[in-house]
Amino acid sequence: MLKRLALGVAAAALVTSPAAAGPKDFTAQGYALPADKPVTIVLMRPDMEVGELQAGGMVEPNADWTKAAREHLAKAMESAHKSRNIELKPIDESQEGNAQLVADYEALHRAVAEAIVTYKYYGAKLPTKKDQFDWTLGPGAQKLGEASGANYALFFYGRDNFASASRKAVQVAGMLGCLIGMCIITSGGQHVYYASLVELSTGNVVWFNVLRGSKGDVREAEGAQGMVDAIMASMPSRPGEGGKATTVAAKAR
Amino acid sequence: MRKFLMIAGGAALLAAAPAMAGFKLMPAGQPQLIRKSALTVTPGIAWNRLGARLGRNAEAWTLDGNTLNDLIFYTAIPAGQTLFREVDKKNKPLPKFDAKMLAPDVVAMFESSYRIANSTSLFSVDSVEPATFAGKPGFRFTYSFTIQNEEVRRSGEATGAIVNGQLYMITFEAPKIHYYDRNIADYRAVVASAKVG
Repeated sequence: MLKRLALGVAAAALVTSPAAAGPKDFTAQGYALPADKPVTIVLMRPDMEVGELQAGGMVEPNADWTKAAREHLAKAMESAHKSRNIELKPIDESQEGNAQLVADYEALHRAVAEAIVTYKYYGAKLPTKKDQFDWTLGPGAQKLGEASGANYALFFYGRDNFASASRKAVQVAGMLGCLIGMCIITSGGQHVYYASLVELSTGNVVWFNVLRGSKGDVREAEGAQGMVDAIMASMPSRPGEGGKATTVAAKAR
Repeated sequence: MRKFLMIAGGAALLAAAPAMAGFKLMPAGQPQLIRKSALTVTPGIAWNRLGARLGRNAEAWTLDGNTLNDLIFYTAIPAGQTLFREVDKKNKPLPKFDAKMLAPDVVAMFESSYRIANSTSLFSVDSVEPATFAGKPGFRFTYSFTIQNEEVRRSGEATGAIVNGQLYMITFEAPKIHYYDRNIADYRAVVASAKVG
């Protein structure tokens, strides 16, 4: 339906908007991690896809790149949490019901994150949510806490599309056209990431960050670590800590 | 949706730009005329009305965003018209309303329209029963569906009636987890406030 189209456009705009590269985060109003207990996190599977952006604007998924990026990102996440002294708690998906529970909340989180990206970042603001950041997965998210022993869940999403040779040729042709007064500016690769921290006792999204642009090639270990460090830079992670503004700028590519 | 998200570039943005119209606040307690038709409702809580048109006789409201709660009004749909805008008229035309339809026919039209518009086979009607809508004898049905390429399972409820040969119906749908239960009473309050004429 049309509404789905509208949301798709918002997401596409976020991906392609070169002017707003870099991270931008939101923290739930006045939220701070509880001071009286350690922060333990269940890391949800990174929802990561890597592909090649074709000349016409379509993306051709690349399974090898995606697999490499997922593995590097998982390691980078573990390393980032270790350096912050955050204990990661896995969910045993072989236990009855856990695989469905994880799948249900990953799907719900995608719908919530899509709403946050559309209505907090793209510009089509919801009047009832003016100056508010109060999205939630609902208190049922506590089941993820019970299954893992964690008090927070971290969700991660990434779409990294590298420009194909044909795309780069179109870019060059467009720029050359400027010399004769016929400019067609074609964007190069597309890199969009977001992460959200969910308090499992309430299901509330307490911190959310979007990173547009690239901090490195996620198909390689170093690039994946750069991306994870950039997006997590503003995440509250110590007991008693609230949100903080980030000044990390992404490298436009 | 996922496929669309992958499409980038100016052409896609330009083509669909009118769909990105903004939202308007629908304050609690204030009667609202739906699409300048004969249908008026008074919401019990504040909602956001989507500026983009779903079709000539449809309008959408939401609380947290369309992916999380979708309140849709179908108002004064005449015979021969679809519920909402065609998505692929040539290959998959949407079914058209007929003034002689009975409740099961309306439900079948709704189901078929959703299967086409959302490209999904994961749609089920869970219950159908008589109901009163705007003081007129009508129907209520509940349904479940999953949109293709989105794993989130959604529930929905629809209430409506055929008045003077035209279809009036209000639907609410939201993810099964948390969102549906949280606001189904707010939807029913909107339905209870509906007036036609």
